[in-house]
Amino acid sequence: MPTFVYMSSCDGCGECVDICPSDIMHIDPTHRRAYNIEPNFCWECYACVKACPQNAIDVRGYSDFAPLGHSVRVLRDEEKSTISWKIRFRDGREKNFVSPIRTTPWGSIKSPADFPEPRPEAINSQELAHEPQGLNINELPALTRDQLKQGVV
Amino acid sequence: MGLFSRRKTVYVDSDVLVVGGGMAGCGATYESRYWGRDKKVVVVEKANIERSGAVAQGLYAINCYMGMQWGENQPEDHVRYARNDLMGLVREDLGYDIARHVDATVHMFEEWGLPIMKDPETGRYQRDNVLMETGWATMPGSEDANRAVAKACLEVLAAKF
Repeated sequence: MPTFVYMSSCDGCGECVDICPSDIMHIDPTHRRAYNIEPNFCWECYACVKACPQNAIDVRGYSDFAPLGHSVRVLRDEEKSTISWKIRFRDGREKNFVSPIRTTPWGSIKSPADFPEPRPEAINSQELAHEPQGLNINELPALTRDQLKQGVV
Repeated sequence: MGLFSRRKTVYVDSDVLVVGGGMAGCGATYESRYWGRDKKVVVVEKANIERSGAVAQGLYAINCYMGMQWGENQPEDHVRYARNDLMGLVREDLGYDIARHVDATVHMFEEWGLPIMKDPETGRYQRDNVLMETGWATMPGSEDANRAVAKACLEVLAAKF
């Protein structure tokens, strides 16, 4: 079920080349358009389909379970922070699914360097950053020495 | 002309070198910056950090969420589960250590904006129906987990090569 590129929509920007985990989306040197160099190695992960700014990449279904006339399109909208899937069946039925990418605005995550610096001796404790408060329990569970020797449980 | 002859070698010095920019690598980067404010942290990633890896450690974190705040699972339960799953071939202390830290990690993911499905009545994280009986597998509501966490990781790093 490999990807293919609509040549008329592709502008050869190379986003799919960067994002493809299989490194099989390449730019054709003559036509300056993206194409899948090795469809057999396509994972059908849809990373390039979602990344393409021109929506020029589509995934072809195998003919045994996806008969001619169907389509599965996905749109990743970073502004609205949603991923929408549109499934069109051969008989004209259509299903739409929308799911959120994230619930907070892009770039809103606080860097760990912006938090107050931990006390120097805290690095010797077993706690990671923001623990134990981040656990929502009073303290980090710990094993006793005899538990380590005998097995945890 | 070999395959790599056109590639340039860039030398980068670092105090902390994180190999791999998946969920685990991004988490290690975050911790490194938190504890070592004046250290130079470098992440090397063979592919695109916004879509790297298979979200193996990251999905595992979300799946093995303990829910210690609701008394759902304890780290000992995770050790028992992992030992059974891997037919006894586990480092129990490591399994315990992952489990006791995972809640804080998932809470942080949620704070950063990872959508997680919740029970409308209790407010607890919903578990996957198939794995419901085992009491594991929290449902992430996003297909884009690594991108969200990688963004956080990039915001942590000083420079991107």
